[in-house]
Amino acid sequence: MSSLDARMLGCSAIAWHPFPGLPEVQVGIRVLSEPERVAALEEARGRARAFVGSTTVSDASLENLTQREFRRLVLSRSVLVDDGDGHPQPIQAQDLRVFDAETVDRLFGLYARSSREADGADETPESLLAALDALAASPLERFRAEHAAGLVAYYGAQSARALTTWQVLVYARLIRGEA
Amino acid sequence: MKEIRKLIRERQRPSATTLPASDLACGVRLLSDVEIDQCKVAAFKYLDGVARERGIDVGRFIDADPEAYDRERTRQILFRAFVAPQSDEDVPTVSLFPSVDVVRDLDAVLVNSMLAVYVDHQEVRATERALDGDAVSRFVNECSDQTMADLMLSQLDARTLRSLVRALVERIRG
Repeated sequence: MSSLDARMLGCSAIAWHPFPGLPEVQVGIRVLSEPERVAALEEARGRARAFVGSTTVSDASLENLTQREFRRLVLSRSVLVDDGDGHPQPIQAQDLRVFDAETVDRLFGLYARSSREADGADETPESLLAALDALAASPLERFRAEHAAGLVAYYGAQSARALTTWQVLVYARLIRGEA
Repeated sequence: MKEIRKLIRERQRPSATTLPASDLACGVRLLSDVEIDQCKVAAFKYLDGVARERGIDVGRFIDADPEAYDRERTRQILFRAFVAPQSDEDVPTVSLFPSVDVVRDLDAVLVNSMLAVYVDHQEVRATERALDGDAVSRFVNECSDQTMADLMLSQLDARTLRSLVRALVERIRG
């Protein structure tokens, strides 16, 4: 993607990541500006209220619905998909509506990471970043996240994410042996 | 986007199963993020209606029975997640139950068993994602060596192991 494309999409930088579970497809994450983020939160609040209608729900439940709506709104405005034709397109809202919770969690994890990096938080320890990503991950991914620092140290990798499932499994066995 | 849509369709394809404690064939599918929210709101609406019928405030109703919301949300999830067996993948899925009222009439043991089936299905789908095609091939190759197989598999807890095996079988079949 050229810098001109990036400017046309209203951003200065797009971080590219493999789509969770589909390493051959790259998705670009554009971090929203503060006014965009505030607008998305307001819209999410309105949507959650409309969704609930006249039903009485607790404040905590309404906030939970708002935050979940917010995540989907952010993704619909920040995720770009490159089908290989050199013209990344924003992910379609109707596609996002059928994504399962784990896919949304993982994509939002990528967004959160890109957002932290854009804020200059690149030095955040790998283990902390991974712990956040682990919130809704599979058992293998959870292990990868919880032991990210050890995995990185053991394999000398840049990131625990770069390691294969096989490497993670071998490491799991190794630390069991040391315990 | 075509590849992503294909992946999502694949993840949401119902898995064949049987209704717990019976030999009734059915399918279980992953709900979308939006559907999970729909389950929550439907549960609130139902409890609101019940409380109104009894002439009490829903807040007081939930105070008196704090688990009422969780139970109703579970029923809403099961109503959507359990589907009639499908012979043709192109045909839209249909709930196994004609209405959520039928799920409300099920006994608590069956409801808990069905929830366990749904959670297990989620775990399998999550493990499948962690195992791309190369990882599966490597895993199968390494498992042909007894020492390496022991090395890897003895680490995993029973639930993870079960999910792993089922994910591998689905991948290899697929």
